[in-house]
Amino acid sequence: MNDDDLMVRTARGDGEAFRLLVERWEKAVFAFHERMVGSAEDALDLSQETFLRVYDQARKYRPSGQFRSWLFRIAGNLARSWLRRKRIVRWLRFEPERHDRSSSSIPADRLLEMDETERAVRQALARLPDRQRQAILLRRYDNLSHQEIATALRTTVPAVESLLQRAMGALRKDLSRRGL
Amino acid sequence: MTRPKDKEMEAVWEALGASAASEPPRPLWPLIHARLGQRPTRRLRALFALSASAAAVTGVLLGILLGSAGQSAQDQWQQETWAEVGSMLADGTTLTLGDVYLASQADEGDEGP
Repeated sequence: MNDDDLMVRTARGDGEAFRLLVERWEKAVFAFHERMVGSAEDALDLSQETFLRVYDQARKYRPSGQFRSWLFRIAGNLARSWLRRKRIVRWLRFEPERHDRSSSSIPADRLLEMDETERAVRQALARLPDRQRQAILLRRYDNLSHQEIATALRTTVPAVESLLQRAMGALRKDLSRRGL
Repeated sequence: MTRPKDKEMEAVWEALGASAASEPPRPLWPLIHARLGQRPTRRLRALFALSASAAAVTGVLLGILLGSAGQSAQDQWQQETWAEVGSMLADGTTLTLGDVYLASQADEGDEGP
Protein backbone atom coordinates (compact mmCIF):
# COMPACT_ATOMS: atom_id res chain seq x y z
CA MET A 1 0.00 0.00 0.00
CA ASN A 2 1.48 3.38 -0.94
CA ASP A 3 1.67 6.51 1.20
CA ASP A 4 -1.33 8.16 -0.44
CA ASP A 5 -3.51 5.11 0.28
CA LEU A 6 -2.38 5.11 3.88
CA MET A 7 -3.13 8.82 4.18
CA VAL A 8 -6.65 8.34 2.80
CA ARG A 9 -7.24 5.60 5.35
CA THR A 10 -5.70 7.70 8.13
CA ALA A 11 -8.06 10.55 7.25
CA ARG A 12 -10.96 8.12 7.76
CA GLY A 13 -9.67 7.38 11.25
CA ASP A 14 -7.84 4.12 10.49
CA GLY A 15 -5.25 3.92 13.28
CA GLU A 16 -3.55 0.90 11.75
CA ALA A 17 -2.86 2.82 8.51
CA PHE A 18 -1.38 5.68 10.52
CA ARG A 19 0.82 3.25 12.47
CA LEU A 20 2.16 1.84 9.19
CA LEU A 21 2.88 5.34 7.95
CA VAL A 22 4.77 6.24 11.14
CA GLU A 23 6.81 3.04 11.02
CA ARG A 24 7.61 3.56 7.35
CA TRP A 25 8.90 7.09 7.80
CA GLU A 26 10.11 7.36 11.40
CA LYS A 27 13.79 6.73 10.64
CA ALA A 28 13.98 9.29 7.83
CA VAL A 29 12.08 11.92 9.80
CA PHE A 30 14.15 11.35 12.93
CA ALA A 31 17.46 11.47 11.01
CA PHE A 32 16.35 14.69 9.30
CA HIS A 33 15.48 16.35 12.61
CA GLU A 34 18.64 15.10 14.28
CA ARG A 35 20.76 16.68 11.55
CA MET A 36 18.68 19.86 11.61
CA VAL A 37 18.79 20.49 15.37
CA GLY A 38 21.78 18.42 16.51
CA SER A 39 20.26 16.70 19.52
CA ALA A 40 18.65 13.25 19.56
CA GLU A 41 16.22 14.09 22.38
CA ASP A 42 14.96 17.21 20.62
CA ALA A 43 14.80 15.27 17.35
CA LEU A 44 12.63 12.65 19.06
CA ASP A 45 10.21 15.34 20.27
CA LEU A 46 10.13 17.01 16.87
CA SER A 47 9.55 13.69 15.11
CA GLN A 48 6.56 12.94 17.32
CA GLU A 49 5.22 16.41 16.68
CA THR A 50 5.70 15.94 12.93
CA PHE A 51 3.58 12.78 12.89
CA LEU A 52 0.92 14.30 15.13
CA ARG A 53 0.63 17.14 12.59
CA VAL A 54 0.38 14.57 9.80
CA TYR A 55 -2.47 12.92 11.69
CA ASP A 56 -4.24 16.22 12.35
CA GLN A 57 -3.91 17.36 8.74
CA ALA A 58 -4.66 14.03 7.09
CA ARG A 59 -8.10 15.26 5.99
CA LYS A 60 -6.54 18.22 4.21
CA TYR A 61 -4.01 16.08 2.36
CA ARG A 62 -4.73 15.69 -1.35
CA PRO A 63 -3.37 12.37 -2.65
CA SER A 64 -1.10 13.37 -5.50
CA GLY A 65 1.98 11.23 -4.98
CA GLN A 66 3.73 14.04 -3.12
CA PHE A 67 3.51 12.69 0.38
CA ARG A 68 7.28 12.82 0.89
CA SER A 69 7.49 16.54 0.08
CA TRP A 70 4.46 17.22 2.24
CA LEU A 71 5.92 15.26 5.16
CA PHE A 72 9.27 17.02 4.95
CA ARG A 73 7.55 20.38 4.63
CA ILE A 74 5.90 19.76 8.01
CA ALA A 75 9.16 18.44 9.48
CA GLY A 76 11.17 21.38 8.11
CA ASN A 77 8.70 23.99 9.34
CA LEU A 78 8.73 22.48 12.81
CA ALA A 79 12.53 22.28 12.93
CA ARG A 80 13.01 25.87 11.73
CA SER A 81 10.39 27.15 14.13
CA TRP A 82 12.09 25.25 16.98
CA LEU A 83 15.48 26.74 16.03
CA ARG A 84 14.01 30.24 15.85
CA ARG A 85 12.43 29.87 19.28
CA LYS A 86 15.73 28.65 20.69
CA ARG A 87 17.46 31.76 19.35
CA ILE A 88 14.84 34.02 20.91
CA VAL A 89 15.07 32.25 24.28
CA ARG A 90 18.88 32.52 24.20
CA TRP A 91 18.59 36.23 23.74
CA LEU A 92 16.04 36.59 26.49
CA ARG A 93 18.50 34.82 28.77
CA PHE A 94 21.21 37.28 27.72
CA GLU A 95 23.45 34.73 26.06
CA PRO A 96 24.38 36.84 23.04
CA GLU A 97 27.77 35.16 22.72
CA ARG A 98 25.95 31.96 21.87
CA HIS A 99 23.82 33.69 19.27
CA ASP A 100 25.52 32.29 16.20
CA ARG A 101 23.79 32.06 12.84
CA SER A 102 22.49 28.63 13.60
CA SER A 103 20.96 27.37 16.81
CA SER A 104 21.70 23.82 15.83
CA SER A 105 24.25 22.41 18.21
CA ILE A 106 25.61 18.92 18.66
CA PRO A 107 25.96 17.64 22.21
CA ALA A 108 29.58 17.11 23.30
CA ASP A 109 29.09 13.40 24.09
CA ARG A 110 27.65 12.82 20.60
CA LEU A 111 30.65 14.59 19.02
CA LEU A 112 33.04 12.30 20.91
CA GLU A 113 31.44 9.26 19.29
CA MET A 114 32.22 10.51 15.77
CA ASP A 115 35.43 10.21 13.77
CA GLU A 116 37.18 13.37 12.64
CA THR A 117 35.55 13.61 9.22
CA GLU A 118 32.06 13.00 10.49
CA ARG A 119 32.56 15.54 13.27
CA ALA A 120 33.76 18.17 10.79
CA VAL A 121 30.85 17.46 8.44
CA ARG A 122 28.31 17.62 11.25
CA GLN A 123 29.72 20.89 12.56
CA ALA A 124 29.87 22.42 9.08
CA LEU A 125 26.23 21.43 8.48
CA ALA A 126 25.24 22.91 11.85
CA ARG A 127 26.80 26.24 10.86
CA LEU A 128 24.69 26.60 7.70
CA PRO A 129 21.65 28.88 7.78
CA ASP A 130 18.53 26.85 8.51
CA ARG A 131 17.02 26.85 5.01
CA GLN A 132 20.32 25.99 3.35
CA ARG A 133 20.81 23.13 5.81
CA GLN A 134 17.27 21.91 5.18
CA ALA A 135 17.78 21.94 1.41
CA ILE A 136 21.11 20.11 1.53
CA LEU A 137 19.82 17.46 3.96
CA LEU A 138 16.80 16.73 1.78
CA ARG A 139 18.96 16.47 -1.33
CA ARG A 140 21.91 14.54 0.04
CA TYR A 141 20.38 12.23 2.62
CA ASP A 142 16.75 11.90 1.60
CA ASN A 143 17.42 12.05 -2.12
CA LEU A 144 14.57 14.46 -2.88
CA SER A 145 14.51 15.99 -6.36
CA HIS A 146 14.84 19.74 -6.77
CA GLN A 147 11.12 19.89 -7.49
CA GLU A 148 10.30 17.95 -4.31
CA ILE A 149 12.59 20.21 -2.26
CA ALA A 150 10.92 23.26 -3.81
CA THR A 151 7.53 21.86 -2.76
CA ALA A 152 8.81 21.11 0.73
CA LEU A 153 10.25 24.60 1.10
CA ARG A 154 7.34 26.30 -0.68
CA THR A 155 9.68 27.90 -3.17
CA THR A 156 10.80 27.57 -6.77
CA VAL A 157 13.26 25.18 -8.36
CA PRO A 158 15.74 28.00 -9.23
CA ALA A 159 15.58 29.16 -5.60
CA VAL A 160 16.38 25.63 -4.46
CA GLU A 161 19.30 25.45 -6.88
CA SER A 162 20.60 28.70 -5.47
CA LEU A 163 20.19 27.47 -1.88
CA LEU A 164 22.06 24.27 -2.71
CA GLN A 165 24.86 26.12 -4.47
CA ARG A 166 25.34 28.49 -1.54
CA ALA A 167 25.22 25.61 0.93
CA MET A 168 27.79 23.62 -1.04
CA GLY A 169 30.05 26.66 -1.32
CA ALA A 170 29.89 27.30 2.42
CA LEU A 171 30.54 23.63 3.19
CA ARG A 172 33.50 23.55 0.82
CA LYS A 173 35.08 26.57 2.54
CA ASP A 174 34.39 25.23 6.00
CA LEU A 175 35.72 21.75 5.29
CA SER A 176 38.80 22.96 3.42
CA ARG A 177 39.70 25.17 6.40
CA ARG A 178 39.82 21.94 8.38
CA GLY A 179 42.02 20.27 5.79
CA LEU A 180 39.31 17.99 4.39
CA MET B 1 22.38 19.86 -9.17
CA THR B 2 21.88 16.15 -9.56
CA ARG B 3 25.50 15.58 -8.55
CA PRO B 4 28.10 18.32 -8.24
CA LYS B 5 30.30 18.48 -11.29
CA ASP B 6 33.50 20.10 -10.20
CA LYS B 7 36.01 18.01 -8.29
CA GLU B 8 35.98 20.06 -5.11
CA MET B 9 32.20 19.95 -4.94
CA GLU B 10 32.30 16.24 -5.62
CA ALA B 11 34.67 15.86 -2.66
CA VAL B 12 32.30 17.85 -0.41
CA TRP B 13 29.37 15.75 -1.63
CA GLU B 14 31.27 12.58 -0.79
CA ALA B 15 32.41 13.96 2.59
CA LEU B 16 28.77 14.55 3.53
CA GLY B 17 28.32 10.81 3.26
CA ALA B 18 30.54 10.47 6.34
CA SER B 19 27.66 11.73 8.46
CA ALA B 20 25.89 8.55 9.45
CA ALA B 21 22.12 8.60 9.92
CA SER B 22 21.05 8.35 13.54
CA GLU B 23 18.21 6.05 14.47
CA PRO B 24 15.47 6.99 16.93
CA PRO B 25 16.54 5.95 20.45
CA ARG B 26 13.15 4.24 20.79
CA PRO B 27 10.30 3.40 18.40
CA LEU B 28 8.05 6.37 17.77
CA TRP B 29 4.72 4.64 17.43
CA PRO B 30 4.15 3.84 21.15
CA LEU B 31 4.99 7.45 22.04
CA ILE B 32 2.69 8.86 19.38
CA HIS B 33 -0.09 6.43 20.20
CA ALA B 34 0.10 7.43 23.88
CA ARG B 35 -0.03 11.11 23.00
CA LEU B 36 -3.03 10.63 20.74
CA GLY B 37 -4.80 8.91 23.62
CA GLN B 38 -4.10 11.81 25.99
CA ARG B 39 -5.37 14.53 23.72
CA PRO B 40 -8.29 16.78 24.64
CA THR B 41 -11.52 16.51 22.71
CA ARG B 42 -11.78 18.07 19.29
CA ARG B 43 -13.85 20.96 20.66
CA LEU B 44 -11.22 21.80 23.28
CA ARG B 45 -8.48 21.55 20.66
CA ALA B 46 -10.39 24.00 18.47
CA LEU B 47 -10.59 26.38 21.43
CA PHE B 48 -6.83 26.12 22.04
CA ALA B 49 -6.16 26.64 18.35
CA LEU B 50 -8.37 29.72 18.37
CA SER B 51 -6.54 31.26 21.33
CA ALA B 52 -3.17 30.40 19.77
CA SER B 53 -4.23 32.05 16.51
CA ALA B 54 -5.41 35.13 18.40
CA ALA B 55 -2.04 35.38 20.14
CA ALA B 56 -0.18 34.91 16.86
CA VAL B 57 -2.26 37.66 15.25
CA THR B 58 -1.48 39.88 18.24
CA GLY B 59 2.21 39.22 17.65
CA VAL B 60 1.95 40.24 14.02
CA LEU B 61 -0.07 43.34 14.91
CA LEU B 62 2.55 44.30 17.48
CA GLY B 63 5.16 44.06 14.75
CA ILE B 64 3.12 46.26 12.44
CA LEU B 65 2.49 48.78 15.20
CA LEU B 66 6.18 48.98 16.01
CA GLY B 67 6.97 49.66 12.40
CA SER B 68 8.52 46.36 11.52
CA ALA B 69 6.05 45.54 8.77
CA GLY B 70 7.17 46.36 5.28
CA GLN B 71 7.86 45.23 1.80
CA SER B 72 11.44 44.05 1.96
CA ALA B 73 12.46 40.45 2.48
CA GLN B 74 14.12 41.43 5.77
CA ASP B 75 10.90 42.91 7.03
CA GLN B 76 8.95 39.87 5.97
CA TRP B 77 11.33 37.69 7.93
CA GLN B 78 10.96 39.97 10.93
CA GLN B 79 7.19 39.54 10.72
CA GLU B 80 7.72 35.79 10.94
CA THR B 81 9.71 36.37 14.12
CA TRP B 82 6.85 38.39 15.57
CA ALA B 83 4.41 35.66 14.68
CA GLU B 84 6.73 33.22 16.45
CA VAL B 85 6.74 35.46 19.52
CA GLY B 86 2.95 35.48 19.39
CA SER B 87 2.91 31.72 19.28
CA MET B 88 5.34 31.55 22.23
CA LEU B 89 2.93 33.73 24.19
CA ALA B 90 0.16 31.34 23.24
CA ASP B 91 2.22 28.45 24.60
CA GLY B 92 2.40 30.15 27.98
CA THR B 93 5.99 31.46 27.75
CA THR B 94 6.10 34.63 29.85
CA LEU B 95 7.57 37.50 27.89
CA THR B 96 7.49 41.22 28.58
CA LEU B 97 7.13 43.71 25.75
CA GLY B 98 10.75 44.76 26.38
CA ASP B 99 11.93 41.15 26.04
CA VAL B 100 10.03 40.78 22.80
CA TYR B 101 11.56 43.97 21.40
CA LEU B 102 15.06 42.85 22.37
CA ALA B 103 14.50 39.45 20.79
CA SER B 104 13.41 40.96 17.53
CA GLN B 105 16.40 43.27 17.42
CA ALA B 106 18.71 40.39 18.28
CA ASP B 107 17.57 38.31 15.37
CA GLU B 108 18.14 41.04 12.83
CA GLY B 109 20.82 40.12 10.37
CA ASP B 110 20.21 36.45 10.86
CA GLU B 111 19.14 34.27 8.03
CA GLY B 112 16.55 36.07 5.97
CA PRO B 113 14.34 34.55 3.35
